[in-house]
Amino acid sequence: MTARTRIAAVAVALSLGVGVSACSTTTADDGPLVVVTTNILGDVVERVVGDQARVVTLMPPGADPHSFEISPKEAALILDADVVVSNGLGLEEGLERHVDAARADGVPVVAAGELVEPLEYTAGDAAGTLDPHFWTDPQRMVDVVDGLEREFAVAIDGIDADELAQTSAAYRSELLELDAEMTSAFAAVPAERRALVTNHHVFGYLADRFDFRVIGAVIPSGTTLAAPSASDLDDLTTAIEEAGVATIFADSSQPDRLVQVLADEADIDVDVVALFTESLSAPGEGAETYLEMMRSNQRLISTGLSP
Amino acid sequence: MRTLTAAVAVTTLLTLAACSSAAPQGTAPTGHGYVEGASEMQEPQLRLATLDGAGVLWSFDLVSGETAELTADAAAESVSTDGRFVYTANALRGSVRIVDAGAWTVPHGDHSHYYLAEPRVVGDVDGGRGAGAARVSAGTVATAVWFGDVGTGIVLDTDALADGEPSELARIETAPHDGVLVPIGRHLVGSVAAEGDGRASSLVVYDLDGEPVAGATADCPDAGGAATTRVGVVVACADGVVLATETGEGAVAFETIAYPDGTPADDVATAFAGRPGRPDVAAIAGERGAWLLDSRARTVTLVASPEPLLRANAVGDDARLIVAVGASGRLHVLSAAGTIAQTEPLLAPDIADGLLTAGVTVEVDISRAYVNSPAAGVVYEIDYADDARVARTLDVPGAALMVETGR
Repeated sequence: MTARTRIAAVAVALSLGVGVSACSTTTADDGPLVVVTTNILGDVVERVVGDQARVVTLMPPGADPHSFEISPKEAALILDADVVVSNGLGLEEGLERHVDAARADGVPVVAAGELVEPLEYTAGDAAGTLDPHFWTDPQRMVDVVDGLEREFAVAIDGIDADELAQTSAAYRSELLELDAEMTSAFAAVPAERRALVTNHHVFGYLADRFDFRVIGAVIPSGTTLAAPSASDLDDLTTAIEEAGVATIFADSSQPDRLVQVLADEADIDVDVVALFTESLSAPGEGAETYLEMMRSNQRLISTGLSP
Repeated sequence: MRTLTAAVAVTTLLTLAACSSAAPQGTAPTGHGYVEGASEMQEPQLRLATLDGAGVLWSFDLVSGETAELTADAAAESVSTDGRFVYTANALRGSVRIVDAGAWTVPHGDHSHYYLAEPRVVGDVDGGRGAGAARVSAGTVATAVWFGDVGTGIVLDTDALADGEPSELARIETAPHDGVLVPIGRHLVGSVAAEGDGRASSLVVYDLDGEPVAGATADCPDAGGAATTRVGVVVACADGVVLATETGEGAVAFETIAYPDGTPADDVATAFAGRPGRPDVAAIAGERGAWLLDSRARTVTLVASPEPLLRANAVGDDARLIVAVGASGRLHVLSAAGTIAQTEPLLAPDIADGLLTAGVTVEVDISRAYVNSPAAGVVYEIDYADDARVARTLDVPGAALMVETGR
C-alpha cells in the first residue's frame, strides 16, 4: 500500500466517524500488511501475527467465499501487501486473478489449503478434485498455524520471531483445546448416529476427523414445498432413512414448512438445523471467530444427534 | 458513487481488521452480488404477474400466496416479461409500460444470485399512435422494444431500467415488417425487409447507437419469433433457425441450424419458448408436435405429440422435457422418447370459447410449470416431473394473461 492511498483511506474513515481512534494497536501508517481473502482465515491470521502486522480481510461477514468479488481499490491493496494469505484449493474463484496478479508481482502468497493434507471430494460433479473446506477439522487448522508461522517469519521483514512464536503457540494451544473438546463431545454421540444429512459440501474434513458419515441431500425449497409430491422429497427422505437421524443440517428458507412437509408427506419426524459453513458471522450471531464458529457447530451437531 | 462505496468498504474493512473486537460499523456487504436497494435471497423469488380484464397488473407470490397490485392501465392488452421487468402494451396506442416486478435472478456461471426489491413502475415507452403491437426483448446491456407495424425499434439502457428510469439509447427505423429486434451483449440482432414487402428477408447487427455493423448479416426469410438462450439469440426463419452468438472479440457471429431433411414448410417454428438461462427452447412443429432446439448442440429435434399443440415450452433439464398444451386442452409432458404424462383437459373451456385461447401461456421453472385458464380464472401449477400432477390450483387475481417473474 502506498502512503498516498493509505492516507486517503484513513481520511475517509475519519470523515465518516468510523472508530479509528478506538483501535490502539494497528492503525499506524507503517508496519507490515497481511491481506487475507476469507474471514475465517482472517481471524486465524490475526491471532497468529498478533500486533506485528496489520491484517486486512477482504471477505465481509456472511459472504460466500466462492463468489465474492472485490473493488479495484481492494485489488490494489493486495498488490501492496507484504504477504497474502488465501484459502486456495480453488475456493476463492472470484479472487483468483487478483491473487495470481499479486504472485506475479512478487508478493508472497500463502495458500492455507497447501499447508494441510487435502481430501478429495468423493461424490458429485466434483468427485476427484480437492476439497477446499479444510477448516471444519481443527487439527488441520493447527497445521495451517504451523505453516503460517514459518511463512511469516520469512516473508514479513523485521518481524520479531520470538513474539511470533509466542502468539502462534498461544493460538495453537487454543486450537488443541477446541480439538479435544470436539473429540470428547462427538465421542459421546453413538457411532451409528454420527451422520450429517446436509445440502452443504463443507463437512468432509469434519467427518474425516471425527468419524461422521456425510449424506448429501437435495433440500426442497420455494414452490416445491407449497404442494410437494413424494418425488420432490424422494432424495431427502432416502437420505434421512439411510442415516437414521432425528436432525438434518441444512439451510432452508422455510425450515418449519420443511419439517411439516416431511411429517405430512413422508411420515418422517426431523428437526432442521442450520450450521455455520463458509463464513464467520457478525458478532453475537454465533460465529464471530473461528473458535466460536467451531464450538457453535459442535453444540448444534451434538444436540441434534444425541439420543 | 461507485468509487465512494468502494472506498468506504475498504475503510470499514481496515478499521474492522484493526480492532477485531469492536462492533462492526456499516458492514453492509458490498461484495459480490451486492445490488443497491435489493436484498440478496437464498433461492429464486418466484411470482406470477397477471393482467386482469380491467387492466390491473398483479403480482402473485408463489410461496406465500400474497398478491400485490403493480400498476393499473385500462388500455393494457398484452403482457410479457424478461423475468424481472414486466411489459404491458397497447397496440392502438403504440405504447409499452415497463414495471419492475421486484424479483429476479442473475446467472453467474455455475451459480446464480437471487434478488428481491420493492416493485415499481419504471415508465412508459411511446412508439407513436398506430405503432402497433410491441415485442420487448431484454439483454444485460440493452432492452429492445420492436414495433413491427411501423418498423421502429427503441433501444433502452437496461441498467437505467434497474435504476427506475427508461433511458433511450437509440431508435432504429426500418421498413415496416413482422420481425425481431433482440439485444445480445453490446449489440442487437434485428430483421430487415424490403420496402413495402412486410416480410423479413435477413438479419443484421446494430451497435448500441443503432448503427448497422458492416458485414454482419444472415439470410432469414420471414423472420418470426426470437428467443435468448444461454448460448445466444435464436431466430426462427422460414428455412432454418439462425443462431447469433457473441465472439470473443465482442462481435456477433451467425450460424444456421437446419431442420431435419424433408421438414414441410408449414412445420417450421415461428416462435420459441424456454426456461430462462437454459440452452433449450421449444416451438410448435405444425400439427406433429414440438421442436426441441438445443442451441448448445446446434440441433433441432422433432418431439412427437399425441395431438396437435397450441403451446410448447422447454424445461431445459437433464430429461430434456417439453411442457405443452394440446388442442384438447390437456397439458402434455413430452420428451424425445415420447409422451411422459398428460393431464385431464384442464383448458377445454378456454379452447371451446375460442377467444380465450390466445391468452393461455405456459411458463416453466426449475421445478414446476404454470398455465393460466382465463375461462376458469385460475392458474394450474403442474409438477411436470411427477406424472403431470396438478400440484396447486391457484386463485390469482387476474388469469386472462400471465407471465412468471423472479427467474
